Amino acid sequence: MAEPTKILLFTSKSSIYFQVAMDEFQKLLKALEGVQPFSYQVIDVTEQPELAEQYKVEALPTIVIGDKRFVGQPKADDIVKIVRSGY
Amino acid sequence: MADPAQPVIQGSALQKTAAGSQFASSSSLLKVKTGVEGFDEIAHGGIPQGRSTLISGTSGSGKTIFSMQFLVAGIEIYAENGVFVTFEEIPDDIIKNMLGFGWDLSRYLKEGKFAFVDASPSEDESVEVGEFDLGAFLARLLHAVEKVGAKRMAIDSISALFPRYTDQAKIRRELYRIAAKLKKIGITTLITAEKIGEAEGRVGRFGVEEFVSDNVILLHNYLDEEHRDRRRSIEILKFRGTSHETQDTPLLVRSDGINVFPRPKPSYAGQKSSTVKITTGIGQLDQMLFGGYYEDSVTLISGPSGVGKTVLALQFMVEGARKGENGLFFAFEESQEQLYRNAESFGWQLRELVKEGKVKLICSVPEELKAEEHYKRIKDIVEAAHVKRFVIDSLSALERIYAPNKFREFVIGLNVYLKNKGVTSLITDTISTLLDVSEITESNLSTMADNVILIKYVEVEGKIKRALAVIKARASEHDKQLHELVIDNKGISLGKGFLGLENLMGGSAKRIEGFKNPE
Repeated sequence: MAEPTKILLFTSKSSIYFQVAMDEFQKLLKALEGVQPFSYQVIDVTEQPELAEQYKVEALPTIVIGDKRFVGQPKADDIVKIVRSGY
Repeated sequence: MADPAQPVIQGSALQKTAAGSQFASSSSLLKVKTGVEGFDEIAHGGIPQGRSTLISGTSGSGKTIFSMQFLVAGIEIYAENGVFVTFEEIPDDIIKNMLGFGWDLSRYLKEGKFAFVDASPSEDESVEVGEFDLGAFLARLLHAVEKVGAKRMAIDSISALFPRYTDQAKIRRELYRIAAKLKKIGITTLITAEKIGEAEGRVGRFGVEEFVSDNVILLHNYLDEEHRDRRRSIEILKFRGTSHETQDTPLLVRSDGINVFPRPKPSYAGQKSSTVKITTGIGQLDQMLFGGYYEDSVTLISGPSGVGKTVLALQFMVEGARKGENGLFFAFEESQEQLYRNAESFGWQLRELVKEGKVKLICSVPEELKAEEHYKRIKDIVEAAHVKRFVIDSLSALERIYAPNKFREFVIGLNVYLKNKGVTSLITDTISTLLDVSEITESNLSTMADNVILIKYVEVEGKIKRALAVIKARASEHDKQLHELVIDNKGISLGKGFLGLENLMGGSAKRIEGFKNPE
């Protein structure tokens, strides 16, 4: 069985996009359920800056799905479309 | 400390003399020494402390090296740790490249004195889906600063950030926010930015000056059309609230990093004028000058090749050394061994004087260094060896290779410097005409000299003789007669005036009709 895809949300409570990003991320996770197995993590960059360094993330919010990254305020529907077409 | 008599190439580009990193300039704003040799001088102490300073330049102008040198000097000299933020190259490549300058970043990393923020492009495919801020980048910067307790940061180069995003106005706003945050935590930051061409009017692409507009340094890299030579220079465009030099200043990238060569800065302000005279080394010449040269004077010795200018200068130097006055002899036309042999033929133990440190003898091909490097080298030796007597032999050799304005700047700057130091200088200048002298010096520099001595060949009754005249002796009486100059195994001596002859300056003497020798 294939490794579950890692889905990461990089954000920060001090970012003005924080709440919007969290909401859309929830939607995204829901939409991807059943499409394929995944694990997820929400990373607050002020608490875990070393992860931001490791993943070379600059902008908030950033969603990392496998080797794809979605930079900026996400729209779950669009991301789902891209993910579905790509896998 | 390196032997100042050695070429500066062997010195370190990191200034190791300074006691501390902070430096109060003329205003209340504190400055941080970059440690880049020569730069802190033109920056009046360094870059503004706790602020961001933008360094903008074209590709290959030395931005990365300058900013890394700032961090390395921080660690090595000032006990200030540093963070390097790289947008283009990956840390491994930078570590390898910097080893070429003798900077061991791996060691600093291990010792916890240095950290990278690797902002080089991610290999992942990236899609911009909406509005964003650069909060993650800022968090990484702050994390690295905290990790090593950094006081210095370099961000290289910010221009690489812009093409990664569509909204460049947003990037500018975010960078402004980051610069403000860095200022708040008091870290001194150098931010590099890329210029496309030298002709481009803007400080950098993407309007980078808008977010760090307080302090801007420009690095230039251009082809000198006249000399077909690539030249680099550095210019401080502005430091808000604090002073700096405004001139474009030559810069070289060498095996030990960047060296900046502040231009000679002629100023007569505060210049003293000595009333003490010192011996020329030739008794009769002392008499002609009513006691010798003033101790802070500049004397131009002009004459054709082979007439005895070097001997006159050597005699001045050797005589000084015997009296305990240290000398610096800059020879552009002869090798050390040639000069030793030349001196020995007059019984002068120049080799011993050099060994004893009483005379510094620098033999250099003028092309070896640029004017600013020669200037700096002279300054370094004058300071380190307490030089009282100075000779350049000859100026013509330098004039041959430097552009006229650069040459004048060099000579005038050097003269003012030596005067302020109370050093007595002799400068030889070769003129091309053998007998007829229409101009004392082809460099047109006689106005800046206090004394002008002309040595020339004259024809007297079918024989070629040497004649010496003091053309000018500022603020002093002097003998206006032409005297025969004789070079024998003891050096130069002067005979009496050519009495009863005229048109010696024209090169060919005529006996004055009816002249009777008064003796």
